[in-house]
Amino acid sequence: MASQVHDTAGEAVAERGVVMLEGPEGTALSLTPAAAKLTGESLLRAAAQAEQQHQAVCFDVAGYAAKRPGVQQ
Amino acid sequence: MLTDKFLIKRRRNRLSAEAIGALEDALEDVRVLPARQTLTCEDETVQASTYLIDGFMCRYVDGRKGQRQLVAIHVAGDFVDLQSYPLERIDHAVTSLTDATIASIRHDTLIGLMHRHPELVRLLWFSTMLDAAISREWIFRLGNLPALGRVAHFFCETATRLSIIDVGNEEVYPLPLTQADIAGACGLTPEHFNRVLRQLREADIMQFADGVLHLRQPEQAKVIGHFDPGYLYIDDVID
Repeated sequence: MASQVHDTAGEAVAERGVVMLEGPEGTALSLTPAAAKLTGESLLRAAAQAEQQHQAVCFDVAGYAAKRPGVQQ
Repeated sequence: MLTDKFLIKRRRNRLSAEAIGALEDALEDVRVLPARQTLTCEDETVQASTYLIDGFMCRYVDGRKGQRQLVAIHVAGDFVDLQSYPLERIDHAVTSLTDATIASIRHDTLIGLMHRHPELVRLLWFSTMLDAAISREWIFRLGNLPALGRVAHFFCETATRLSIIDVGNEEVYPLPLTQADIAGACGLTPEHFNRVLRQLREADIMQFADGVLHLRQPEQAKVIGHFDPGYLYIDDVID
């Protein structure tokens, strides 16, 4: 799998009782329905955590910039 | 001639007639390996290398949980395990995919052959480096291409390799492999491979059925598969 963070979503499709996750780029997985559900739930949880982490990083940068005039926010 | 496909349209024209004759004479034990039969097991010590005269063979690695990863496919004209000469032990298994006509060249014979015909050293080395180049491309394929691209790339590569040994034509290639074989080479489940195959067929780009590959739109297939044949080193215009 490519060693970069993707900003495009993968696409999941169901066929012959199997869930297939395609993309982005090198991702091509086949999952049972149960495994796909658990993976989906896990992805949603991780995405929520990652958003919080991202907001925290932005807040830190904004706070630092407020104390240092001339630093771009 | 057993070796008439060895490095054809690559560097074969750099070999003298004497060297080609000597290589031909060094091959022994010509036989047919039935389809789906293991030639060499992982970790086996070997004292001869195998030249594929006709048919398809592959190399694979089995994981600890029994999952099998196909890591190379060989066509006529390939040495399937020339690297076993310097390595002495083979770190993967070699098996036939179809009935395969093969011949052996003993490693001690190989030493004498290279001593008497130094130009063979470079070409045999080239042959193993070609295997490595194809392996690198397979890593790229599995690591960076989506399912559609992987399958398109595999078919483009295989069609190109077959065309240089004069098997098939620009659009139709006999490819007596199963869908499971190709799915394995592309790191896909058979279900996923089947879906991709249908997508390619419905887009009229290519069709694979009954062991025959039809490349309807070769250029479009190359675009989808990010296929550039440079790594196959087909650089001899005239043989």
